[in-house]
Amino acid sequence: MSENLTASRQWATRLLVSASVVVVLIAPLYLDQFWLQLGFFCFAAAVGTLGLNLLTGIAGLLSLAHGFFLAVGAYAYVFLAGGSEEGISGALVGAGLPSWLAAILAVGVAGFAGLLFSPISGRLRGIYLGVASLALIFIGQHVLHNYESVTGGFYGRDVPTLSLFGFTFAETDPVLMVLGVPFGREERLWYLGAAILLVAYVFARNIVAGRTGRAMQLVRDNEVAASSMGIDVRHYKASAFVLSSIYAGAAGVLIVLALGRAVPDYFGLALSISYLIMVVIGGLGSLPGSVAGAFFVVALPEVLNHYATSLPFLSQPGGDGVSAVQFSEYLYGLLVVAVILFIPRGLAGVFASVRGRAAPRSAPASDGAQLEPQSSERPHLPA
Amino acid sequence: MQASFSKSVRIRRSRTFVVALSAFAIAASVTACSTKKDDGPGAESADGVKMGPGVTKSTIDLGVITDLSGPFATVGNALNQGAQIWFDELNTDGGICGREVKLDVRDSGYDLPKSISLYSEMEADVLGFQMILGSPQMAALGPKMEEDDIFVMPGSWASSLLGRKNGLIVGATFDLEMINGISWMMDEGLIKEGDTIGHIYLQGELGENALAGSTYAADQLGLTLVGQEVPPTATDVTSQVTTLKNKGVKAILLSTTPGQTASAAAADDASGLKVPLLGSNPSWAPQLLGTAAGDALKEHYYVAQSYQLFNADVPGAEKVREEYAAKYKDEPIAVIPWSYAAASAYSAILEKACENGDLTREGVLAAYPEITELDTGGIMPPLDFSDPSEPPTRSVLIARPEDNPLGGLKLVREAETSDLAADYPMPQG
Amino acid sequence: MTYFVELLINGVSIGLIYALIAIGFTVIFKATQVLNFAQGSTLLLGAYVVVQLQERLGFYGAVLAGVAVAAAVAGAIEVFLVRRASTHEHISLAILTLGIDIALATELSRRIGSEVLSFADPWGNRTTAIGPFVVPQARLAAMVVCAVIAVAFFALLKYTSWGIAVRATAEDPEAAALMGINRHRVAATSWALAGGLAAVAGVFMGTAPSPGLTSTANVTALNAFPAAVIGGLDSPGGAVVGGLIVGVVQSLSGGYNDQVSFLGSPLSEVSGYVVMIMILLWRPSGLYGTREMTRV
Repeated sequence: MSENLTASRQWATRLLVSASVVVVLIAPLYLDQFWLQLGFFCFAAAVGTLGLNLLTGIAGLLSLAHGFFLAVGAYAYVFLAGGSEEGISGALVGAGLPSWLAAILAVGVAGFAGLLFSPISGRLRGIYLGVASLALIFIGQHVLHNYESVTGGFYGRDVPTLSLFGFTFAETDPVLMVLGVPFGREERLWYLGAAILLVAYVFARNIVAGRTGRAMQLVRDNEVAASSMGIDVRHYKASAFVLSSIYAGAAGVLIVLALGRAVPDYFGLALSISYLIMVVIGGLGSLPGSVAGAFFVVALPEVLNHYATSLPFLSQPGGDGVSAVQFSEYLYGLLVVAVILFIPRGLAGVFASVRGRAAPRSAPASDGAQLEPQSSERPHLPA
Repeated sequence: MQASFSKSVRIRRSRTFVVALSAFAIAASVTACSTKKDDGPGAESADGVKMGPGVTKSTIDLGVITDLSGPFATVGNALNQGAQIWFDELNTDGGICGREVKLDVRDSGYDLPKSISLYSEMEADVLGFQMILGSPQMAALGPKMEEDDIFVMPGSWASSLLGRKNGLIVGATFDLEMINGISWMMDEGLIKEGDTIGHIYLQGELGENALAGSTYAADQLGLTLVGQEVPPTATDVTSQVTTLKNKGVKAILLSTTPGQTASAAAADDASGLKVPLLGSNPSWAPQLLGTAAGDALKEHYYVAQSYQLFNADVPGAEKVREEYAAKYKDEPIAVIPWSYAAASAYSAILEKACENGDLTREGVLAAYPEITELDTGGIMPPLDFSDPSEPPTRSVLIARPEDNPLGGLKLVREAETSDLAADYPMPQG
Repeated sequence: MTYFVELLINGVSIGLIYALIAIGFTVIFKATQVLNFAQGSTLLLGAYVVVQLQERLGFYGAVLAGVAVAAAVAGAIEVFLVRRASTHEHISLAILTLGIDIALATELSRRIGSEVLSFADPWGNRTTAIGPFVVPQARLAAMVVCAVIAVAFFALLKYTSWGIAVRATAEDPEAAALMGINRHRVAATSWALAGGLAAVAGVFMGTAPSPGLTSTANVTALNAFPAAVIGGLDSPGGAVVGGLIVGVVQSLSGGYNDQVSFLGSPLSEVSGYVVMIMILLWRPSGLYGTREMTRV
């Protein structure tokens, strides 16, 4: 009986995965710009959320600075790929590197920024680290506004188009028609986003399942025990920051590619908080949950906005009541509260129980366990 | 047993989900393609007018991306109200080109990615954007809008927006407000050559642009300018005023949020500095009269702006007052007459395009510079759009606070262009 | 020199307001080990209630009502939400309060819109000259009230049974419970007290020379975070020191920004956080915080 169950469960999972792959592949054939762009923002945010979940969910380190590392990746790309040009508020300098190389280096720069934070992240514990990371947001905003020759200041700076071996992620160059549908910027970026998310996901899964991931979880659950087992606590805390910054950097590069312009306003405290919300709603420590959380948080206000005219509980633009944006804010706030109070494993927990996976667990602290390879491949079943 | 039973149910459910997904995928791939093909070139209607996106035989659709729930919600709402008053009136009178003008108003909450999503969602279905609020938004969307040949009015008066073939600035820019304002203070004897003046300015568009104007004016008039930059989140600018007092300033320019304006006025009065204050147009809100700084504002503050006051004695403003009282119950804010006049400018350009028999986007862009002397019911001086690298007017009026329920301002001097402002070389974005 | 002293006075008066908020952070943290991110919106709530009621109840009555509402809401957050969470991890609970903050702040800013909440306080815009220095009376009142509240709070902590209960719970929750200390009551009263302090701070943030509170006041209240951390999250005394440090550093860095213009402007926005990072590098648990050798 139980083997049967396992087999059919695997079958179901495989089908679900292949169905998603098919959907992702054919979507640009019929979705219009709005949905493709929204999908791309979801992919990009999911990459960033995976990174924050490695840090906060797996390694147990609270960070309010995720938006800062996104900014580092984004601006590093813009600087490295951009040329020296005349901006709105003065001359801008750029390294003028090929854009694909700039994108890779930008992710590295973000990781390096995470490493630079390690003297702080290694020394501070728990909530002190969370508040200290808040400082990065404010310092980051200050630098973005003041270092105008690189960042363009308040107005920001145009984002160079990404091109890979002569193929650009833009409307043309080369002109591309697939089954009679012109494949422009949004269609191309859609595939790029999906591919990066896939790579990011697989990489994160390997980390979590491997030595590094288990060491991080041990450091999270019991620092003393971890260090008595010979785990270098500082080293793993620092690695967690570097890893999550790399993810943030990649997300930052992706997002500014879609935005078309990097502006400091976007990378404020609200961005960091929204990533934290994505992680929590998705489920602390759950990688599939991160993806779900990111999709939920990014898409909700847009979808509500899209259908606002047919949703009676939302006010029309300019009307008195609650707008789609405000409604989403209430919902996020209440969901975060609900997740911590009643559904400690977030969306991931809801999915898992729908799909008949692991039995519910009590506290998010013990959640990491479900990510171990044993539990995801051979789920423990109650007799 | 109980457990495995419920599990098998769940699995069946999940399988159903998968099947549903695949069915959806197949259905989707069958119906694909057709929806995404290009619509081809614009059609021509019976009246001989060429029509592009967003235009049908009976309607013209315009987009609005504004902030109705975020940090600029009040301004966003007011801009909306002014435009709505204009378009309701217009549609009652038969619309443009015999077509009803419909505004599709969307709320971005001032969020940049949301604004960009909204733009791509709406772009294909509208002739143009009657308003896009936010300078980061305009900066980010600039290249796209140029590519799409779409005509857009930003909710701003920044010089950096000049010089675009498809961006409409209505009124004098922030730098011109300051130059005209400083010239007026010299004329009135409030400051004289050799004096030091201070300028508290916001990080960002308003501040930078206004500072460019005050720097130019100070250079030309032999004044020393001391700048103090503040972030938009600050509400208390006492320490900036203290710094300026220490430098011995004879006047302070304010390119700030209304809250900061009140704080500056209170500090100016309380510290015994008591110098005149001159604000850029967004630095004022009538609610400030009710704060503890109300008396200080009435005593020291002036505002420089290119559009008429809400209680002005001109036909356009009278119309706005009448309709506003009938439609809305909020306390009116200063920018409403402007948004009414700006909407009328946008309409005039569409009207011109209709006259030319071309209501496509290209037709609108071609009609834009043909408007050379637009009357906005007296709300603004005659507007000349013939050169997109020039603001449509360089004239600015001066007003000061008084207790009245209609905007809380009284006119000090009618709109005028000072010699200095007339000679000012406009910076180009 | 006069200029320096003026900046110093301004910094101290703002610092004492930060201190009130920061004391709230620390008393909550001491009693329940939770960092309360909802403190900012509690402050805004208290101020909002005061403005709504000041015409009917008069300024002082409205302040009492505002303090009571803020205290009740903060207490209710502890009793109905924090206490019932299935986890006692710092991070999850901090995130819980973040969720509350988002919902509460959204509702308050929807109601407030772009209005400036200004108080009908008896000081208005009046100033008092102390030697060559001119100080707004509202700021003098803020200094006096904040100092009195801080002292009263320490007396409460030191001499009352409630204070002993808080300190005992912070030291060793289990032992405290065994001694018959009602942990729930300690927790609820600590949260309520912090809420009340936030409301008072909110009022003083909105009186002269500030024109009033805007819907973003909860963001300004974030400045109390570095204040609480500099002093040490479980040290109310440290919170006062931290508040003064942040206030003075902000005021001086703003006032002398010209002299160090290569550091960019406005410097006052970041200086508090930079000082916090430097102090944390030197003392990872703040100046007066209990050093946790291990937390298992």
